[in-house]
Amino acid sequence: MATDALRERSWIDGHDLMFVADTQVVYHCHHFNLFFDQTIDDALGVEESSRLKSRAAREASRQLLLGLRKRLDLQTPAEVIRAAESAFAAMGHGRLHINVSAEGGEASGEYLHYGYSWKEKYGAVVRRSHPIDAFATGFIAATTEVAFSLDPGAIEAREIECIVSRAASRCRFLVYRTGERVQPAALTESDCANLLGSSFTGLDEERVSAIASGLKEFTAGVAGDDRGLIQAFGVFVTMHLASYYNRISFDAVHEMGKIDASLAANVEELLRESGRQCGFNTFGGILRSAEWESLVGPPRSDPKEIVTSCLGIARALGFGHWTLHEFEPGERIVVRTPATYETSFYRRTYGASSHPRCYILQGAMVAVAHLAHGVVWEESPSFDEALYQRLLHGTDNAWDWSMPTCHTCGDTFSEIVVTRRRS
Amino acid sequence: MSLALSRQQGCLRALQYRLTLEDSARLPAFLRAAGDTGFHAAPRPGLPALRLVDDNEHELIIVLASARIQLRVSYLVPRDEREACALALTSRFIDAMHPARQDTPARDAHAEPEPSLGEEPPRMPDAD
Repeated sequence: MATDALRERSWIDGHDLMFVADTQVVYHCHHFNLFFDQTIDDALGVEESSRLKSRAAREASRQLLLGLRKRLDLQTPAEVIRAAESAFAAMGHGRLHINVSAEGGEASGEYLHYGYSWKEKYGAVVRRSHPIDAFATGFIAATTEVAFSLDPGAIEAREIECIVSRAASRCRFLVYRTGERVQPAALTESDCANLLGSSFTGLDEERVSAIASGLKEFTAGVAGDDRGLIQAFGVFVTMHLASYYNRISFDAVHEMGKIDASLAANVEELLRESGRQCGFNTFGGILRSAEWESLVGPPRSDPKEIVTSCLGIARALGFGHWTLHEFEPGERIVVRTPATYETSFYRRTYGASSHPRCYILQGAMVAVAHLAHGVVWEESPSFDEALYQRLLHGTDNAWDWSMPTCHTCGDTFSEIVVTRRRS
Repeated sequence: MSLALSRQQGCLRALQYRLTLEDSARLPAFLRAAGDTGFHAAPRPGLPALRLVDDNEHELIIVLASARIQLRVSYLVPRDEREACALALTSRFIDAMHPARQDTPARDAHAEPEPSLGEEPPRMPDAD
């Protein structure tokens, strides 16, 4: 039932922003998720980072679960818990077994997206002692709150065993009462729509729209496998809660800004790097995938074709109505969008920003410029760390960006200008 | 070799491979061989490609327009066993495409050699 409800995605017309049970969602792959997580760990330190992430997960998951409870007319705590477990798996986050009362309890997890994909990507070469499943931790707390109709903030959870430490075979969580009460942020579909300006079209609109439509149709049928993981386009994919990323990003920047403005700027640069990782790994991985080849055809080394392909991908993932406004091959790319999945959350939660904060757009579009101009697609290059370093951090194909307008600043649309760096 | 296996360097370690038919006209024979070795159709809505899976959750994605065949070894296979698994699956496909090969203990000069693993080849340039 929960799985069916998750398939009922709604899109804000002309904006390519996606909602499930009145909660904004996006697709992100394990590369972005792990890099984003590490970014926050690096910025805040593990303890504060874990706290922020699990609270952001509780806040975002609470909205989703309240929406599902209403949508599915769930009556009892057991019904809510079973629906939450199903939803978690259907979204590609793995399998949870939640055993709680209104006072707390325990939970366990298998094949959790963060822990499993971390082991897959880094487990052979990196040792890690601290748990990684902050999203599951917050999700379990939110499930308990919603199942027993508790106030927001009444429950916390803590991961006490995680498979990233080699000794553990599964992840285990303690769930307990707190004396806290928090005021959760919630961005509903109508809240989001009310903050949006009018939509528009751009260059090669027909191609971009067709790609986005084809990918949306494909992703509509994608859900977690028997273990609650989604493998598609050669990566592990999650349907994720946009406000989870947003709360973490913006709170991390604000917290560091209270200490020193330069620290906040450093965190912002790390968030852009997460966006570059997403552009390279997710967009690049999709373009190289068999799924893409069957939907669109093999990618060719035509810069404009690569750029418009990536804009279609961004739309289908729920990133916003990314639109090509100007294109000079090898020199300049101008992309406009009425909003991204970051901007409405920012405006509603923090008010108008003093400077552009579309970190995913800033990072991903630089990566797209590299994919369009630095990759010989016909040679089937290996999408690995060496290529990433050569492309994104090499000196022979460097790109700069600027944002003359941004939705987070109160403008009616965001515009990014990506230009080739001339030394 | 009628069927070549090559690594497809991607985001997941040793899970994805490209199978290249020496002659793309043999795609129907390959599909029959896949069926004979336990793969069955498992279409995904919205995906205009053939998707076959077996009971061990290994997966084949076949793009008919380009005859691209991607083999995805199940992520349940331990990382250091994945390449061997891909080679074993390829060997089974070849055996099923060449039934005589299975009956020839001492291989002669005309027998299909055992598959080996190569790097992913570049695509042929577009006709236009």
